[in-house]
Amino acid sequence: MKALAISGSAKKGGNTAFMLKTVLEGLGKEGIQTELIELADEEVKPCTACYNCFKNKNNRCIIKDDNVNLYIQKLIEADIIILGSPVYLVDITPKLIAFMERCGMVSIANKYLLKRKIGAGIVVRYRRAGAIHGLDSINHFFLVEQMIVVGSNYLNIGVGRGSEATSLADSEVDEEGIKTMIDLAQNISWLVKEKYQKYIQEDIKL
Amino acid sequence: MKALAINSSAREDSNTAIMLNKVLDKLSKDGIETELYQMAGKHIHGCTACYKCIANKDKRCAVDDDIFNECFEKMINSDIILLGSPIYFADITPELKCLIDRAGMVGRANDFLFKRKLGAAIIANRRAGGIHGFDSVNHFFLIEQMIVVGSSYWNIGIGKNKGDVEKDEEGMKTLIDLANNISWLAKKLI
Repeated sequence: MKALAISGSAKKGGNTAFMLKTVLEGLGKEGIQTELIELADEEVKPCTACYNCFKNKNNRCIIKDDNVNLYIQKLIEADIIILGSPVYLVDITPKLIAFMERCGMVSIANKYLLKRKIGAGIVVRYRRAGAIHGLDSINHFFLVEQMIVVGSNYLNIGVGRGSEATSLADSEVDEEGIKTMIDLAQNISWLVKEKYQKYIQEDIKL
Repeated sequence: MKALAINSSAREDSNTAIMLNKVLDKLSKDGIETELYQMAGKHIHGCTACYKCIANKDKRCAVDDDIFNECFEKMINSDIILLGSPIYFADITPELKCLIDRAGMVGRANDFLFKRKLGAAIIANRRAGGIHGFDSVNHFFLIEQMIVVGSSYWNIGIGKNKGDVEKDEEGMKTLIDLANNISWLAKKLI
């Protein structure tokens, strides 16, 4: 049982990474293997709509000069996928959009590689508004991939102010946000551990 | 195992109802008990923010002169909740929004009555606005600790006049894929 978290933030170790780590820690305590990937220092090229993935059907994107094919493989191997992003202008980062477009197309081209995996989106808003639109953008990815999206006691949103000096501290004191992440981890754990044993044994690799 | 579908359309047996029935028929074939509840012609008003649900904790809304408590009881007695709406002005109907606001409050006031139930939004639209309405419903599910099931596309059908959605082949396929995913998950959760 493995959980993969991807951060689309431009900053490494920022609020988004902090919130993702909070969920991963919760899952780790339940014995789930976890991995966090931060895309901050790398380029993720957008989809070029070439449709080669639909021709080749080899679980790969034809664009080879970034890490997306490696990540597609990691997504296939994961049972739980958590995508996180800060919200700058009322939506997630272009990097995470590029990631979702490329992985999403390759998945659909290969008979829905992510079908019935578990997903959750996490969004950190820095100043005031826009978080819900960003969260919707991530959930669109899960819900068009035949995935299963798990809720929490609030929408999975963290609040931080965003300046270098205060960002992490802000997120660390967003008590409601942290509680939302902990409850999310519990709901995911419940689904995969308590009730999913048959799923794990019988048909995890559909 | 019971699935409840609520049709918030102003028209009975509308495109939204056709879509909801498409999912319910498949769930029924898979051995799940189903019910369609239609709000058309019935009165419901919005949350008055009186917070009596939080004071009373009796699984009821204090505003008791409309269909809300009847709907709510059906919802909390179901394992699978499908909420359906047509799109008129780029969002769900006010009737569904009234239901969501009040059900959300009463659910939370009573220690999350919807926690870990399965949910899916079903939307009928003529041209655009579908995804916004779809999101509006999913916000309810995700803030109530529910589990939202995806399909091969977003659960949106295209149609204007009654019956149009039946000609929307991709929309109909989306609903069958949704029903298969719900059945599959529901059986794992028994």
